[in-house]
Amino acid sequence: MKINRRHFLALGMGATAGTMLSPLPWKLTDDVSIWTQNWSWTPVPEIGEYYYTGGACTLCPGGCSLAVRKVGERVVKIEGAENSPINTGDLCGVGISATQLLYGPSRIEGPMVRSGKRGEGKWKSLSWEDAEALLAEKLGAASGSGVAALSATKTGSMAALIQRLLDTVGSDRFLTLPSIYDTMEQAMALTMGRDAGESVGFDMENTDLILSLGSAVAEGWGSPVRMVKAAGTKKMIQVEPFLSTTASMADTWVPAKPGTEGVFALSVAAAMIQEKLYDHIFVSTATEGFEPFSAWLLENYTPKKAEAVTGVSPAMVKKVAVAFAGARRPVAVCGRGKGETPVSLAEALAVFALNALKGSVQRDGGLVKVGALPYAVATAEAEAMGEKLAALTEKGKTDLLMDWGTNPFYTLASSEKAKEALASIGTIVSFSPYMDETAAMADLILPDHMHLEKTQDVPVRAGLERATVTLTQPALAPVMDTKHTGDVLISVGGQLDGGGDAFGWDDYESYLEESCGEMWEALYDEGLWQGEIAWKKGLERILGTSQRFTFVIPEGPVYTPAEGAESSHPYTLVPSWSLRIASGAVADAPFTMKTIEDRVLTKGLSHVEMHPSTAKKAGLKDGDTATLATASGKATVKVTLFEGMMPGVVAMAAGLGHTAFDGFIGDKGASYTALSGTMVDPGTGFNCAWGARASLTKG
Amino acid sequence: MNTESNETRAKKFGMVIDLDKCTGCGSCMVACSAENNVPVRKDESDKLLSTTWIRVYRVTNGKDFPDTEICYFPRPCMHCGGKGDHGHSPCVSVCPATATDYDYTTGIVSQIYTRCFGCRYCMAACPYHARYFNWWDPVWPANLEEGLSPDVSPRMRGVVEKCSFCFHRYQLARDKAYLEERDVEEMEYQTACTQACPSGAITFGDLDNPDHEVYTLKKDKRAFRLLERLHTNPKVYYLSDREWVRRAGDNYLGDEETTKGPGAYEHKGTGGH
Amino acid sequence: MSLTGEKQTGREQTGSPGDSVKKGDSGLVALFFVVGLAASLAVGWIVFPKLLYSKSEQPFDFSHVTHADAVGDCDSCHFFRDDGTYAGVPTLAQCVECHEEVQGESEAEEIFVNEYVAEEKEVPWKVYSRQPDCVFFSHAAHVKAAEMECAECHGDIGESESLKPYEENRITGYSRDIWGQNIGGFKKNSWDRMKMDDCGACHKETMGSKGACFQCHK
Repeated sequence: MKINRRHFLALGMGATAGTMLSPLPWKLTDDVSIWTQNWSWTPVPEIGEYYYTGGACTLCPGGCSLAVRKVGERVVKIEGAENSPINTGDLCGVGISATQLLYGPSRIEGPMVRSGKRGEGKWKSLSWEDAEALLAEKLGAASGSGVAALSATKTGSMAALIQRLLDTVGSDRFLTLPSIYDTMEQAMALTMGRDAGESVGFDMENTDLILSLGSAVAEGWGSPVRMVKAAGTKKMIQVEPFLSTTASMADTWVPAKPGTEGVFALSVAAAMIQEKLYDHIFVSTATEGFEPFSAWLLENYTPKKAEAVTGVSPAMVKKVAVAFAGARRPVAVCGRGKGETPVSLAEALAVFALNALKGSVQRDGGLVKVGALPYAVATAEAEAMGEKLAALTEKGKTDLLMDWGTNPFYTLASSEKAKEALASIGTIVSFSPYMDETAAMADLILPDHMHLEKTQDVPVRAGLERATVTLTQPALAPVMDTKHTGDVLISVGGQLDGGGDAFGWDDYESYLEESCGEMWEALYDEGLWQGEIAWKKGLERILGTSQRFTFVIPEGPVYTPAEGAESSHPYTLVPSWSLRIASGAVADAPFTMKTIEDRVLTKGLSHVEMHPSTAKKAGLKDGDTATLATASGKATVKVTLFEGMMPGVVAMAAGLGHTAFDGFIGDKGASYTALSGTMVDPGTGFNCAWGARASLTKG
Repeated sequence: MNTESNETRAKKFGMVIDLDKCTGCGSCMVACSAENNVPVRKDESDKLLSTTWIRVYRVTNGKDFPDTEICYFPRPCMHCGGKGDHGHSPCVSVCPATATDYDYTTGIVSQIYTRCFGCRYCMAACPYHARYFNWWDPVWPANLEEGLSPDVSPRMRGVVEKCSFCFHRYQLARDKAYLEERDVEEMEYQTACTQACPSGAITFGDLDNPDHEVYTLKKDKRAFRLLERLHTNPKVYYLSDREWVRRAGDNYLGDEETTKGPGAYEHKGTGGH
Repeated sequence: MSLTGEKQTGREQTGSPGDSVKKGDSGLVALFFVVGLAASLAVGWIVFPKLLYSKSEQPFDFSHVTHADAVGDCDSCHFFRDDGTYAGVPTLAQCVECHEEVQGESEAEEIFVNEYVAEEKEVPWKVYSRQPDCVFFSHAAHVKAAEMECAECHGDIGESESLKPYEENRITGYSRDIWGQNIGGFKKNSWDRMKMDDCGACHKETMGSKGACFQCHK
């Protein structure tokens, strides 16, 4: 009776039978299969109550209001506010992707001071108290005229505070990035008179034809969402050297040579006068200077004469003149691309004149005056902004530069020389919430909250038909150890000699309420304040003087040729614009980067679009790698052929080529700004570069 | 496949996109990504790997300067019904795991990530390139996980994902409707892309409900569908005045006539329009 | 076999082959079989569940009965929001409406007020009914439209004086209540088990079909 193999077999069979009859194998299989799907690194987003809070976007000057969707304490989606008269429930891709800017890897975690070489990326954290004391110390040590500050807005509570800080240290170098509105405001001053603070707007809602002189109506000009709606519903004539989306949607596309939009506008004006298509009554009763202006026009800018400059046939000019004159309430707009850079004063005057010829001035559907924003704490109007900005890009003129939301190392670095000058500034202070190009080069960073984390007024300067201010709202508690720059300035200002009185507020919130004056109630309750329509209607209009217009013969050239010699740089480089690519101080978030087509950006290289005949001339094929060079710099690019390009013109997307931020945003493509160079407009002193002569060599 | 309905009347959710209004701004793409926790990569320029449930394509009329024209085509998942709306969507027909299935009560082709094992047969089958594969685990660095929506399950590697017509929004709308003992209204269930479109080019609703806007729009003489002749019976209609745009919607040979309208090649079955 | 042709001793001695195997051996074999069977059944039915599930207590005890008497029915604390979503397990803010300070005499409440209310810390309740992330469950559809009682899925928890220990499956990480207390997956009441098949079976019975995938999944 030895225990042998058979017994163990029997034991095994019994065990097997028993195991099969027990739940063990079945339950274990079920459990293991669940276990294989339980990956600890796959996030399980927490549930919670759904809320919507309000807010305003500051990523472009458009002035959109937000509806921020939250789950518990987390922001999960950004949508447009339904009740905003500006964006009526919609929002562009850049605004929607702000959640990724809020939570993304570009965020600066707290106050930092540089600890390695400039641009090396080595930082040391310090407390807010220490950081503010350090800034106060540096401001105290610097000489008044050597201190400059860049502000994202020209007016508003923050601009006033920055100016106040500069006043306290004896500096008048309050700087903003000039845009089309700066030029247009100067044109308005000459033609329609301008009180301090007044700006220019367009009554898009009531126009029936938009004659756009190079403006990216469907790609971000003005208030982007508002204009996209206009592009889809209004008749359009687009003047542009290549087929943009706006040009394709337009009823007529006029391919004028790059930079000649102003000349084209004048030739249309001349045609209207030649054919007697202008509004006689308006011109004779409400304008001055028509005779000399008309004589000058007919001598220099007839369609035939203009053709030599613009390349547009007189027949086309006449067609546009007839269409413009034939509309009931047409409006002409200018500002190339998104209007982020100014045009020459001469060009703005030309476009204003066009509007005046149809009486589209200070009336429904036309070019209108926008009243000054009634801030109780006013911002002084900056004089000679063009010169002051130029001083920034000249070595040795600036000891300390503070950047609040303009990112000059990207937006003002229009050449290697400019970049070097900026890099030579003694002390660079950044208030950016993100590690942008300027923060990366800064010596001291005092990170502001981003727009979803703070309360702040946003004065809107986007060609709206009436004065508008929106209010950002904190959707959640700050994610990082950031502090409202307003609070920082009040604290720092109070520490300066003579600053105690000037910065007497407890905190920014109390200052904000005071500075917004009569606007505060509406801002606080609805997140939006709008002024009255500043033009009169009906009989009032005819009897009143609000419509008066003076035709001004522009001094200085209406067309400035691009920098560079044709022999060495046979092509003309111009920027192309898109609502998918943020092109100001901030950069695209990952979700928006996703929307960039592979005909625009491939594996970190920007593409340049050109006509097949241009490529052939340059010895290039579709997809080739090439070196694009202008007088200001060079970049490696890839070639995209597109029949919609004017032969000889090469276009590159603006807004790429960021070198900082994070791995999702940075090192993608080339910066158009860095290649664009400088064209100083004698009328305003601003850099009005519309393009640059370029060369293309394979490889 | 079970054709019985849980609802009192089966719906057929679909979309009409007016190509003459679309500006190619990309708001729809971004809104969709944000709504649905779509993964991001450091390099999004490789479009074979970039996941965009709705993608805006760009076509030109092929004419030379200055007669060139462009048009943008936003392309979500078509939620194909197959011939006669019998549910023979190309993807549903080939899925070995029933990870994707056609629902007769709503017309939505769902994609359930936990069932998918990543064979990608559906990607091969889909003629619209509407499906995307997660070759790697989606990574959410810094605090990006905080911004994830709990209404859509974040994916793991090895599964296919695609546009869902935001059915999670339908579910949430039904929650409210049950509470108030009524039906879901047209504007209560709108996809993220429809809501985000600034030019109002996208319209979404029940194609079979005469009160919904899409019902009227789908019958517009400008309406056409992509790759009509494949009989996929897609639920997304496009509108355009331009003949060349209509021709861009299918692969036409030389002088072949343009399809007269949606459903021109439709076989009459027990389902369908 | 030997060279001389003699027969094997063993066989001769025992007579017919296999006799001893049948008599003593077979019993032993059967015994081993039975032992194996019994042991594995015991392991599968009794030892396995003991090993599979870990037991832990809730952060502190909670009496549903006390609160139901004081505050009202299930929906006093577990309610529908205006947008139709379900609030689920109450947040700290809800409890604090009454429990800003200690109301009664129980140790559990003391822990709650001192460690959670005072520190503004949400209580990390271990939720018995937690389903995987792929599940979308609509309380509105079941409670409002289908007019089901809470107890049909959650059992009589409303009548409990304390919270039962939280038993967690060590392999899957989900509560024992999902598969069910019975390791074999057999259920007596509707709330004994809540896996996908249970949802599916009830749907099939009441509505004629399991419905679209996305009805229950996200």
